[in-house]
Amino acid sequence: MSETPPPRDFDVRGLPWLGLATLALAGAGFVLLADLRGAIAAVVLGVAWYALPAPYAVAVGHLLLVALLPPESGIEAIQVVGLVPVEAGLLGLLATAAPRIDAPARFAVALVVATAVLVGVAALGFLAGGVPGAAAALAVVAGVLGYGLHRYERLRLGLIEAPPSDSRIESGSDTATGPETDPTIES
Amino acid sequence: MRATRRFWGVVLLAALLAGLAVLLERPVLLAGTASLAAWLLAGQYRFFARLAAAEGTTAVDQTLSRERVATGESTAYSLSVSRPDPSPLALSVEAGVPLAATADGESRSIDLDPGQREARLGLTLSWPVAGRFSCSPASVVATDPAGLLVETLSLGSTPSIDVEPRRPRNVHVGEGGEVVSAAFGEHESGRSGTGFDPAELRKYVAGDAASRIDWKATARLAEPYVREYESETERRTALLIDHRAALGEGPSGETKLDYLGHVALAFVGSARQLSDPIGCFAIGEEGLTARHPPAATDESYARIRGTLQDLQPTGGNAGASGNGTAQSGGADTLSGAVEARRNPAAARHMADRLTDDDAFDTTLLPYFRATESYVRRISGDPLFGALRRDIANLNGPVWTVILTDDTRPERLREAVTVARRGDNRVLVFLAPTVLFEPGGLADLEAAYDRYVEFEEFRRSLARNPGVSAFEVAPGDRLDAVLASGRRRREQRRAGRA
Repeated sequence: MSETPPPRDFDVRGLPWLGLATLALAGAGFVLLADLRGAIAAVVLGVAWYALPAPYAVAVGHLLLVALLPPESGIEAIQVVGLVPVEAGLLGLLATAAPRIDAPARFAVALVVATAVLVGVAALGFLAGGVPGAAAALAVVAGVLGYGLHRYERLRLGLIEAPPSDSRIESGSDTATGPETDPTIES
Repeated sequence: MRATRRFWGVVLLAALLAGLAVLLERPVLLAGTASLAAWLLAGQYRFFARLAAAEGTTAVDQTLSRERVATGESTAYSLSVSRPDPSPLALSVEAGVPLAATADGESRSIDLDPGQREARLGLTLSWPVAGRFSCSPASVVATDPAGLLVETLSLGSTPSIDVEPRRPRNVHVGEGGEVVSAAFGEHESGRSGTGFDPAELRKYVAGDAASRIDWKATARLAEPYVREYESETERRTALLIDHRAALGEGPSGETKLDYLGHVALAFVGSARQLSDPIGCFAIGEEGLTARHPPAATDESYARIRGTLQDLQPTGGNAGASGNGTAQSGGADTLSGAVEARRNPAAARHMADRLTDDDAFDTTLLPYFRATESYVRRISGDPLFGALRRDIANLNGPVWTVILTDDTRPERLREAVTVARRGDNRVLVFLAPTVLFEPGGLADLEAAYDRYVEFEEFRRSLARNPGVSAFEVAPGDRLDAVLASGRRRREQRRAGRA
């Protein structure tokens, strides 16, 4: 019998050097966006990356983005030159966060494709209904994709149990009737 | 796949960012929502891919050391899990042990850490319940290395086991090792008269009723002839079953009393089939514990069956001697106490220590006293007393069936003498002690000598007119003893040659 496995934690960084590189990329983006304030934000992001699980560090990164960008800027005012490295770096943090990645390239491709799809959906939602429309579109599409993947997995692995066949229900006869009228017993 | 709290934590975080984006009208926060949602989707996909690979390559094998056991026996169970490649999935495999089995260890699962290729689990299962049981497939719980998703798969072989109740098996009823045909069943009276089955034609003699003349035979033979028919009668049977302490000897469920009870039940079944009246008298240490005069009603058959099935050795230290574990372990040990709790006779033996001084004992005593209630206490030998008073008082001829052992040969001889008075026939079924004693076959030659003594006693009983005596024993043990005797004779012959 094997010993009890050590506790697993999803903030264990599977690829720390690559994680540091993506952190540096995000930090550079912050500096490009807001100079000194950006540098401070980069340091805060580094601390968050070190102390928190990667998804929370990414959330902190986006809150820092909100703090750095002027509130009245809107979508047009976003400085693409700074924003792209920040988002790429944050995405990189997520891609390198998973421990013991056996097929990192495949996971990275899946992550990029999923992000592209969801960002595209959010953009369409934004055009149609502003920020609320984008949020709703994101929620619906992400939910449908996640549930679809779940059902597909159960189907592929044969984990979906067939519903119990009840001839009484199928035949529409009264389930309270006695043995003489009970088709399951008669057969 | 099932989402863990961590998964839902990230979902909540993404929802929080989306909510803030709406509240603050900052679309850049939606980028965070999209990133986190995409990360979860990619994680789902990766988990699914690993799971599909693991399902095809992970070998889970469950084995049981035996396919057939008796209740209370144990088997070794092993669970082995192996995978050809070190997978990042953590697996926790729970053994598919049937509910009817009791495992010795607390843990019924093994874990395969990420990267670990194989693991094994060994358990000792005991089987307290009879029946056929199959292991369910092992439950394999796969966990995503990030701890976000969990899935349960059912994998592995499902070995089965037959758990047989402890009861007399291979019941031998015979004489000197030879099996005799059933002593019960349809029976002729040995007399001719009126009936249904034609027996013979004979010449008419004065005094025969005219209605009995066979006119066709008379016309054919030119003389008056009477056709005789086989006269059938109902047989009144009285079972005397001895369930004193000595009858509790033998392994649990295979005691002398169990074997003799088996024969007695066969008599009841036969009597019921033929609608013959049958009675039952159970002989305890101090007298009669059950008394059912011969009757041929469904109720009486059912009552007698119930009595026979409930019989336990009375008094003495039957339980302790009747059970190898209790005897070897001693009643003072914990295992002895547990065994006593499981065996009514042994429990009564333990209850002998109860006194009236203690409140706990005072509460328990009535229950144990109630189990040894006597219909009538008999001074002297209870078997002899029951035959003299209860069987002798029955009207008409009675087939007396005595089921006992060979521990009190002289008393039994006297009892048989009383039973065969008048036209009564007596059947004696004897359980040879040597074939039931724990360790009785350790020395086969000594066992053979004791069996020969038993056989001489049985023959001496059978020599009495109207008395038949049979042995009732486990066939395999008897065969072993007889084989030992044969070997000895062959060796002697070889020595002479």
